[in-house]
Amino acid sequence: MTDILELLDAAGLTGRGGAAFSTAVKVRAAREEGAAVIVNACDGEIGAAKDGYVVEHHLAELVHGAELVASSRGRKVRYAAHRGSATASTLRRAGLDVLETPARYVSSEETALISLASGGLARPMTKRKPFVYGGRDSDGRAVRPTVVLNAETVWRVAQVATHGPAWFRSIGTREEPGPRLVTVTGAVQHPGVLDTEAGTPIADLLDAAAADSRAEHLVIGGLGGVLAPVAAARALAWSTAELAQFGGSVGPGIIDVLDPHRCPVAVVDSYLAFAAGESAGQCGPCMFGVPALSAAWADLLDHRPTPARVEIVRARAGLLPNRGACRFPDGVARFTASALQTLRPHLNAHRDGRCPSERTSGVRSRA
Amino acid sequence: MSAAAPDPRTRTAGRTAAPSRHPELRVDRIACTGHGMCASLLPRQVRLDEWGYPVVDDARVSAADGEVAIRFCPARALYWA
Repeated sequence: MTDILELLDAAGLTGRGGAAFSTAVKVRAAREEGAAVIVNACDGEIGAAKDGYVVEHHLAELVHGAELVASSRGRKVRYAAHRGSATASTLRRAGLDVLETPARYVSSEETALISLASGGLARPMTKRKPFVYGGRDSDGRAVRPTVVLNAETVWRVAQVATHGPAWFRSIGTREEPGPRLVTVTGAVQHPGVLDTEAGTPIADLLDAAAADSRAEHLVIGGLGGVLAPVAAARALAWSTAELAQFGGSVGPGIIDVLDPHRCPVAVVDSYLAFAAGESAGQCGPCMFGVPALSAAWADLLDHRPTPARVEIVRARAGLLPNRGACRFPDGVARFTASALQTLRPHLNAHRDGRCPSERTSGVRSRA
Repeated sequence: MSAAAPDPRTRTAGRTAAPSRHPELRVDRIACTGHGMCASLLPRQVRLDEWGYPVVDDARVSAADGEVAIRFCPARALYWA
């Protein structure tokens, strides 16, 4: 049998957890370092359901993929899932080694899982170099070489081994080959996980889930993603090249259709209020910066969203990127920037004292 | 950028055994507790946000300056990468 590394290289499989890093490169390093393997089935992003889908419907292939990744020197494989979730129960019933994580936003981040697996807390660690080479946490505690792969990625590894790289590349686009899962949720009649591919029109994904035809906005990729207008998004294909128009990417594969009756400025407010409570409280720029951003956005909702108030939001978001151990603050900044861009007409209406989404009640209060 | 002034970050190793890439000064954000020493020692590259945490405007710090900042950081949060 051809080595799995050659097959993954030829297939061009990239991580399906959001970062889209080459799986072949990651698995090669893991093999060389004798790294422990963690399969991430946490569905940690807001709206995500695809890891649970893989565990529910393709468990045998998932386990096969994990064996291929960790095929020699007796490396152990652990399956990470939120504590108390249906996914965790299914994995445990199958006799697998489950790494149960707290259901917090950052606890399923790569380095947080490695920390938890190493006997630490489920909080991100500073990645001075990739932990596939081993390393130390910020207290100097040794961390053994460990690699984290998303559950869908590991399932795709098994598919590449079974069906071959030519089959894999016959699906998707040249830049983003292979089948990929997309979770469609929110104001849709049929929420769920679609097994689709890059290049599929976003309109087809929305129609397959029977999205509310009155919906005006989508969140693509959750809290680490972007807010986009439905009308513009429907004209695009599901690909990072096209989603770049909104500052987005295919990321972890989530489309959340926002309820057309709810003010989108209020929806963003609830996202950012959630974010403010999800900082692990380790990095100053995140533990102070994200709550400050959330407060600045709340001012847009509670008062007249003047250019000065919008500027405060922009400035606070601008101080988040590249200033945390993990990419949580970077994602929140990207989400906020997209919301400011997409909701400009809506914010202008609020400035004039009306909310286009709410027919009966007006804007919450006036300043 | 002209050919006479290559970007030090992308410079490849030459006969002088220069590093393949000019290392950048990084902050371990978990270790950093906002003493602000780096901003005092590297005023042209580092400023502090309203809570006292460093904003690194330019991570290309000379080896000598960077070493001093690394040595004097009370939280041992600075490193080369």
